This record gives sequence, structure tokens and C-alpha cells, in this order.
Amino acid sequence: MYTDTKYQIPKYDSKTDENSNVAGDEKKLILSQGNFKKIAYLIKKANAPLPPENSHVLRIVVVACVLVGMYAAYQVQEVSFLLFISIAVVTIIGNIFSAVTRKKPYSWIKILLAIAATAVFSTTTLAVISAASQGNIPSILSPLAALFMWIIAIHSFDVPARRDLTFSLSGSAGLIAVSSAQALDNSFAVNVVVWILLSLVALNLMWRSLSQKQETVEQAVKNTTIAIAVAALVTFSVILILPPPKPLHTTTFPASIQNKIPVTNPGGLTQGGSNPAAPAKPGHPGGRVEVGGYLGFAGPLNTGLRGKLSNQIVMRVRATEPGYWLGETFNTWNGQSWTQTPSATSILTGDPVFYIPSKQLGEPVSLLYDAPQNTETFYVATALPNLLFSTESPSEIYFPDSHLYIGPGRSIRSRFAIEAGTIYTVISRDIRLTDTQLENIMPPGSSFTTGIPANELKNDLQLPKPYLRVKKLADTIVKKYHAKTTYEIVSALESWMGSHMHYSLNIPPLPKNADSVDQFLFVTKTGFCEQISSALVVMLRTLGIPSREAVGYVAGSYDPITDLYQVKASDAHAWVQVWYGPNGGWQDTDPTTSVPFTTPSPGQIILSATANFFKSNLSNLLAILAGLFISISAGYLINKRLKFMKLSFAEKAVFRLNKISSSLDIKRDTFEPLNIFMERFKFSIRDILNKDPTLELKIEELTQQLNSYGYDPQIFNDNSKTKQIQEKIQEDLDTISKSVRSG
Amino acid sequence: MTNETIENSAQPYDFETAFKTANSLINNLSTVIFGANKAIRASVLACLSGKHLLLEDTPGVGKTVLAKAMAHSLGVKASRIQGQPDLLPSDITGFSIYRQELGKFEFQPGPIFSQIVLCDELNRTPPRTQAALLETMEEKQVTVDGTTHTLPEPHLIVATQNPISQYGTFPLVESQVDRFGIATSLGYPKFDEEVQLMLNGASDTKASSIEQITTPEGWRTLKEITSKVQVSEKIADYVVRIISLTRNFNGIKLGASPRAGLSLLEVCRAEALIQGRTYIIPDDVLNCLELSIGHRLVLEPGIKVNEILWSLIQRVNTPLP
Repeated sequence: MYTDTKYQIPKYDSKTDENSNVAGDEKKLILSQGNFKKIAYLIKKANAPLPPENSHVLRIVVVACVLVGMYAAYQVQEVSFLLFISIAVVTIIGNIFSAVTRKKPYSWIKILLAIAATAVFSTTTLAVISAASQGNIPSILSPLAALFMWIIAIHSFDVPARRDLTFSLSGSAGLIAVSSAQALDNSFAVNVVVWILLSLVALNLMWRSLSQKQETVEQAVKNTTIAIAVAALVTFSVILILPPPKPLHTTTFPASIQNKIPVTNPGGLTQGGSNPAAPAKPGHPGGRVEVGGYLGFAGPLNTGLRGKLSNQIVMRVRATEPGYWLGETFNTWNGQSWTQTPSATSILTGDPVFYIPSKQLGEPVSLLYDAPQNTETFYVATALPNLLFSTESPSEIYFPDSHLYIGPGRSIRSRFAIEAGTIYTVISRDIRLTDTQLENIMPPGSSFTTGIPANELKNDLQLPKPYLRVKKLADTIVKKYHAKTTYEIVSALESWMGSHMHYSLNIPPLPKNADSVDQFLFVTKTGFCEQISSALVVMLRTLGIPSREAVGYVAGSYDPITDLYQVKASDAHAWVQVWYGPNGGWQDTDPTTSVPFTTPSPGQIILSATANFFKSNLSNLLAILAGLFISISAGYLINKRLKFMKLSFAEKAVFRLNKISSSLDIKRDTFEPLNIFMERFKFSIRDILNKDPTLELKIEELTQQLNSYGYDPQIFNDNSKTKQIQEKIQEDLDTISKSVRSG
Repeated sequence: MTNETIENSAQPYDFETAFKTANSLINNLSTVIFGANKAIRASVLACLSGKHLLLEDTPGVGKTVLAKAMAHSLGVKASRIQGQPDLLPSDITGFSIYRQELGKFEFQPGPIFSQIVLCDELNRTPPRTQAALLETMEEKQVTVDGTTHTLPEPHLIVATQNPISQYGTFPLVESQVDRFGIATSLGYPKFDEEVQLMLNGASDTKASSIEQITTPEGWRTLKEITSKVQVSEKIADYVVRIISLTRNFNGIKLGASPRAGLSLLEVCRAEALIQGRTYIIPDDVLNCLELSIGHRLVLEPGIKVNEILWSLIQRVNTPLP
């Protein structure tokens, strides 16, 4: 009896729409015919003019997406500023034109657009051909980017329908993708984030325009947030399974120098910094001589000077394998400073590729023969000395000039100041040997100095004074470790230093005339890479092993998004090169620390970084989470209470009814009138009603009371009656709630 | 009727009587017509609200019987117009004939001057005649040869209409359909009810022997009391929300007019009276929506009235008490 509600109407089902069936039948009929007709039908259908898109907001958002894409291309210098502005203006005009003529697009516009597109294409082709014929392969990229942008701009004159707008949107996605690939640091991410947000809004608007659904702002925000979350999750999962990136081996490599400022002392070293072309003068009180605080890249390396190293990024490197970016080496020690003897330079020619003869750097040919090639592209971010960095041992250099100098101590110097924006690529042979190889590279019983030219040997064993105390110490260590070969001796000295010395960047200044190595080994026992490496060199030399000081940068932190190693000023480093005979040559050894020589995958880096973050901030995070949880739940409860307090009496009563009924698993629809709901309510508690017939009367009374309270104007104009009814409703509600709970 | 009686009729006692009378009208009609509760209810709603009734049905389901039974129950005169292609306006309104003995024209009132007029198969009459009839419905008066004749009060037209797809019909245009406050169909009776009908024999004679419930005076009072049923602001707001949604709804070509809204409220008043309430609640609006609005909507092809109204009311929140 309770199921018989008065307003029972079948649910409206949109599938019964006859029109759609008719269209479907026609489609079926055509598709069942021959292939040719089928294809003709599909082509005709695909090319049929689509209904115009009337949402101006959608248009504006899509144009914004396109403009962000174009700006991104400009930011990574794919196009010049003037070109960017003119293409942007054309795009805006085109879109306005399309919006105005969307209902009746001119047919002649398509012809004009075809002509314009052809013209742009021909111009680009000519530019590419002329660039390619000069062998300037990298410069082909920018006309291609410009072509892409021009095509988007021209296309914007004919975007009457929604589908055309999706083409514009995907065009902007292409621009963002191409530009991201060129981006050098993560500040570019701003473009990507803005573009993603805009495109999500655009997609949402497209969906709304397509489905004609009325959506509140709240719903839209909710849906967009969900979309962002899903996209982020998917992207993150994809990154997790991505293999480590490898640079492509193309025929030529990036190399560019923007302002060709000749250095004041050709072949000599410059200071970098604020005046990159000026000669280097370490420790000169009058000027800034260091790069981000580092004083090493000059003629002499003065271990008595203390610089403060900043975290400024000096360069970014895209490399097959990371390694120590070597700047120069020193062989002459005077107790405080390292210098290079002899100081002669030789000139290397080539444009833009320089091939470095293997004998020039003195590397063993047998090692170079099948050493793996590393490709390293340096993007300079701060003015640096005119040194070209690379891992050992450089064999090809791509640098936009006709001359380079190979200076003393393996240093490669340019004729121009190296300023921010300079790009060069070095292909180097990876001649680093593994520990096992180093152990066996020298024939047993051979002297430490085998294979080194006599004129160089003098310099590689040079000591300013006998260093008796140091020699005694070194001998003791070698004896203690039973070290015999070069490798064993180096390892013994390093491990001794590791257990007896302390690393600190903050050491007291070197007293005047004091010996840096002596001071470090016997007095302070604390130092940083310069002290540690100098001490190792001096100790090795007292034992008769040729060795030298090397300065440069460590690999830096890897950024998985840009696939670049970010080298900071504080990554400046000094280490040691030891002679390993005619087959090993000069090999790097770092007594200070060791860096991992593997490329982790982006996912690993993100995971380990995240794990570290959580590990170090666990308590804070827990506190924040607890705080968030408490404040959100408190806010929720307060909001609920406030909302309840704002309700009118009858609304509160219905709210209570809903609460009672939700325990019975029924819920009042917002369009459901009270009587029908009460019928359902009665039906759901029919077992209780059978037991207690008076309750049914109570419910009916309540319904009647609520109705008259709510809809009878005579009642709510009369205060005393209102009060009376309110009391009665409360009473009834209490009774019902009690019986439902007990039932 | 004087002002005094109207005042009196608003008294609770009188409301109680009205409620009883309305319900006994329903019961009375149910004894004659089997299995058409919806149509009976609609016709009583029409009597109470004074809205004209449109029955759309195939012949032979008891439309005429319903009209006759109504007339007998209310104690009024009923007349019948059979809609035909050659029916003329004067066949409805009446005409003047020359009386030689008096030496002047005398007006012969047509069937329209009865208090309940059954227009059978209205859509078989040509548009000209339809128009004449429908004009009298709105004006409540007839003008023949320059003289205006007022129709009796209360006055109710029960028109029947064959389904449009049948041959030989002139479909009523929207503005004419709009004049009918209530439209419904009788439909075929259920199996049991039809068996009952067979056992009881032809109800034609029964219709004229039906018990008289009230007088024309009483009917008039009923109408007065019905019009006194209260409408709160919430309900008015609710009705307007529904009505305005019909004007902007997928599947509805032409929505309901403000007149339709007013008419809906009057039908709701009658519904509230039948339920024994002096005020309208949202349930009344939903119960009367299809009766009162359904026939006025112009729908896209292939869409059914009840289905579209169902999806429409789901989009309108009912006002909480």
C-alpha cells in the first residue's frame, strides 16, 4: 500500500530519440555498401562544415594557449622577439577574424591561406637550404620553429568550429614540447604550468560547449582539479619507468658565442666574472678575480687564498657520462702556489671542429684507441675564464671560432671571452681506468717514471725544498700499508689521509711564508680539496712518483627534467693526476672525495630525493599533516554546524527526518515533495509500523503539520499557532526517531 | 450571489462541506464510469476550478457518459454538440429568426447556453467553428446580430478530441488548446473493470439516473470556496520555476505561458480542496502538472509529455516547508 505513490512517471530515456535512430540507420545503410562509397561517405562527412563555435571564452583561452606556446619558443630563442611579436599579433587578428566570420566563413579565405602557407613554406625551405649548404646545421632549427608558428598563425584565420580550435590547441602543445626540449633550466616550467592550466580550462570549456551541460564554477574547478591530478599521476608514473636519457649522436653539435669580445692577452688566461676579457690576477685586491668565489682558474693557483663559494650556477652540461670537468693542471709548486712550466702555448685551427692530436696532450695511444666517446655540451651561465672544460681526454671540440690555444697544463683556451650564453661541445675519449686496470697497468718491477719524457719528468717531480718531514711520513705510510706499485701507494696515502685528516672549507688563513702542505699535514690537519690534493702531490713526489695538480668542476647535480648537469660555483674542485706509465698515462685520482660515475634514471632521482625529503622532515611533515587534518575536520564540523544553524525551523525538521531516514538507507531527492517522501519513509519502516500502528498516525500527523507549517500562509502569519505547531513537530520527530532507533 | 454568501463560504464549516461535496462528486461519478479514475478526478477538478476540460480519446470509452453524469450530479442542464465537418458557428451559438406575429427577430439560443456543454469530436469541426466556440469559452458571452447574450454561470465545456493521427481531423492550434485548463484521456479500462462494465450493462441510462449531489447554486459556492485556497510565496516561486524551465528545456519547442501558470495554480487549488486542505503544497503542483500544462507544451518530435515532464521536475528543487 505504501508503494502506490501518486506521481509515478517512467524515467525519460534520451536513447528513444527517433532522430538519432534515423541518422544511425542512414549511416548503417551507407556503410554496408561498397568500399568506395564508404570511403567517399567518410571523407564527405569528415569535411562537412561543422557548426560554428559560439563560446568566446573558449576562443580566448585557446588563443592564450597558443600565445604561451609562442612565448615559450621565443624564450628558448627559437625565434627573435620581433618575429614573436609579429606572429602573435597575426594570430590574435586571425582569431578575431575567425570569431567574427564563424557563422559564415568566406570560402576565398581558404585559398588565401593556402597561398600564404605555401609562401612561408618556400621561404623556410630556402633558409634551410642556405643554412645547410654552409654546414650550419644547428641554425636550421630556428626557421623550422618559425615555420611552425607561422602555420599556426595563418591557420587562425580559419577556425570557425570547435574542431578547428582543437587544431590550434594541439599546435600550441607542439610549440610547448619543442621549446621544452630546448629549455636549459627549470624556470621554463612556468610556461609549461601556465600552458597546462590554460589548456585544461580550454578542454573543459570544449567539453561544456560540446555537451551543452550547465556546470557550476565549483564543479568545473573540481573536474579540472581531478584532471590535473590524473594527468600528474600518469606523467609521474611514465617518468618512473623512463630509461636514463642519452644524448643523440648527430653529425654536429651545438656551439655558439654571442658577443665576440677578444681577450686582452691572447693565449693567456682571463679572470671571468664582471670583466671576462681582462687578464686573470689572482688575489689582486682591486678587482673581482674569482668565479663565484673560486680563485683557481688563473695562471697560478694560490692555496693561501680563501674564497667563499656561492651556489650560483656557472654552467649546465649535457653529457653522455658525467665526470670531472677539467680546466687546467699545474706542475710547479713553490710551497704556496701552483704554476705551470713551461708556459708556452700552441695554436689549434679549425672551424667549427677542432681535432686535437693525441700526442698534444700526451695521452697513451693504446688507451685512446677504443676508449668510449663522451659527448659533452657546455652551456655557460656566468662569465667564466676563457678555459674550455671537458673530461679527460678531449679529442674534438666544436667551438665557433677558427683558432684555439692549447696552453700549458692541458688547458684549452679561446680567443674570446667566455660569457653567459656561450655554448660549446667537446667529444672526449674516456680514458679513465678502473681500479683493477690501474693495479695491473704498470708492468711489475718497472720504475714509477717509465714512459715520461725526460724534459717533463723534471717538472712532474719538482719540489721547492726537500720536504724531509713529509718524505718521512710518506715512507712510514707506504711501509705500514706494504704498498709497492703506484696504485698501491696512491691508495695507501689516500686512505691514510682519509683516516687522519679532516675536511673543512672553513680553515684559518695561511701564515705568511708558511708552507701550505706542511701546515696542513702537521699543524692544522684540516683543509679542503686544494690542501688535500697538494699534500698528496707533494707526498707522491717525495716518493718519486710523477704527479700534478688538476682544477676544474665536479659533475654537478643532475636535473632529470632538462637532462642537464647543473654546475655551481661551489662545485669547483681540485684533485690529482698521477702518472701510470706509458700504458696508463695521466690518471685522475681524488683524495678528497669520490663522485658516483653513473647516470641514475629520472625516476630514481625523484624517488630518492623525495625519500630523503621525507626522512629529514618526517616530524615536521607529521605535524603539518596532523595540523591539516585537525583544521580541515574542525572547519568541516564548524561549517556543518553553521549551515545547520542557518536553516529555518522546517528545514531543520526535514534535516532531522533525512538523518533518521539515512539510517534506513533512503534519501530524499531534492525534487521530491514531502508527501511522496513520507510514503517511502513509511514503506521502509513498515515492520515497525506493523508493530506500532500509532506511529503511522504520528507520521501522518507530522507530514500534515509540516505541510501546513510550511505552505499555509494563515499559519506562518500567526505567531502563536506557529509556536504550537513547532512544538508538536518537535514532539513527533522525537517519537519517530526514538521508535525507528529502537525498531 | 451576494458578497455576504462569499464571506460565509470562507467559513471553516463551509470549507468542510465543500470538501465533502467534492469527494462525494468523485464517488458518485465512479459508480457510473469504471476504470477512469484519472478522468473522473480531472473532471471534478475542472468543475471546481471552472476550467474547461479536454478529453483526448478514441470513441467508445465513455466520454459522453462522463459528461452526462457530471451534469446530473451537479443538477444542471447538459447539451451536446457533435463535431462535424459541416458544423457552422451558428449551430453552436444560436441564431435569430424573424417572428412574423411579433414583427421582429427573436434570438434562438444554441446548445452553448447550457451549463455543461459536451463538444464531441471537436477537432472534426472546421477551424471557423472551432474558433467561434473557443471564443465563447474565454469571453463567457455570445454576440449574435449585435446583441450580447451572457452565458449561464458556472459554465463548463467538456470537449473531446480524436487522436490527431485519425483521418478527417482539423488539429487545434496552440492558442485554442491553451483555453482548456485541463486535458486528459480516459484510456481503456483495466481488465477487471471492463468485466464489471460488461456485467452492469450500458451505462447510458445509468448516467441519467445518477444521484444528484448538489445544485447549480451549490456548484457556484464550491467554485468560490476553491478560489479561496491559499497560495504561499514558496509555492508561487516553485510554480514559476517550473514554468520558466519549460521555456528553456531540451525537447520542448514552445514552453508554458504565464496564463498556463495561473491556470495550473487554479487547478492546484481544486486539488488541495479535494485533499481537504486550505493551502497548496508542492505535491498538488506535481499531481496537476501534467493535467494542466502537458497539452500546452509543443514538443520536439518523438518526445512524450510524461517523460519530458518527469525529467523536467527532477531539475527543480521542491521548496522545503
